[in-house]
Amino acid sequence: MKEILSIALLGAALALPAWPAAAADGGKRSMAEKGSFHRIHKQKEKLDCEDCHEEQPLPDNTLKLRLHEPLAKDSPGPVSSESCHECHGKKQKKAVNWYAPKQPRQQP
Amino acid sequence: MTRLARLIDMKKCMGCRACMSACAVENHFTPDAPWNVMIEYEVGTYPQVRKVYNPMACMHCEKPACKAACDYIGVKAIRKTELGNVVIDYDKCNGCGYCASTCPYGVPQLNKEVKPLSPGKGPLGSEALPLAARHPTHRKKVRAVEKCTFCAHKLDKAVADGKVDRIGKDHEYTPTCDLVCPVQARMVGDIDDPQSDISRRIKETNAVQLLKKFGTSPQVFYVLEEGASS
Repeated sequence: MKEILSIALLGAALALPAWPAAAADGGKRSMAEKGSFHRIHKQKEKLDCEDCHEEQPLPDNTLKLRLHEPLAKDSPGPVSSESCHECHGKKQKKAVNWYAPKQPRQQP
Repeated sequence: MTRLARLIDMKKCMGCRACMSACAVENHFTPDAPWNVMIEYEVGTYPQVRKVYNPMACMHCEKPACKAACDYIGVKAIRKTELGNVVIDYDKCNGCGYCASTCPYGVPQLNKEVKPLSPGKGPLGSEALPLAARHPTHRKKVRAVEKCTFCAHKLDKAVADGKVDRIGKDHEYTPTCDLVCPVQARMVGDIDDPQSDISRRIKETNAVQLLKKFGTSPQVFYVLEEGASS
């Protein structure tokens, strides 16, 4: 029992210094199709490509800096910020709230 | 306390792109990673059709979504300065692109290659300086995200010189895009001061923030052309 505890403590001591380093560089995060971003949205959250990607080019009056940027190879289409806002613009358990929507004032 | 904001009057803007060119030279951004662009589109129905010119760069949000994402994953490469401009630390950035995907305006740009602004014609502006002598926002790095900084090199100088009150007035302390507009469609100033030129102009013109529903409280205000997107 003592041996197991010693090994566990040693393992924790070795692992702890490595943890902040991994957090500091964000790990291997990437927007690539096989990267972390798509893994979260596609595999974990089970979103389909068309849940975020539009089939058509975004309209000319879309307020996006690189509206006419060439898409990545094999991309199913451009992504509108609106689709991000649908999940990340409200408080819910699944998606982190990146945006700060005005909450409706609670009636007394 | 000074809190900087920008006003862009789309009714005055004629789409000349002097602001973009000046920014490119001042901050040597490259076409693959622009800091300042012109969105243009038509509004109305024929024959009453007009062109809308909407210059866009970083909105320097009060609650920047890019920073929220970067902090969340533990990289913490994005910060808001005491004057309110949002800047990226290229040394901390890991190039993941999460900030670019989170920004409602798609502002952050991943620099895949550090190229000279004018290939074959020699260095321009701060490109001529050795890396160590440049402002940190001009020490470009491959696989780092960059964007408009409100000309942080000038703002930092204003802070160092104790001349924060001269931002928006003096050439050396004012973002370059705001200096070069031939029709005075742009200005920058302190919106914490209700008597400042920008505070008065925002009020007089009913200028608005774009994509306000995202709740990031952008610090760039626009006088909208009729029919323009907001």
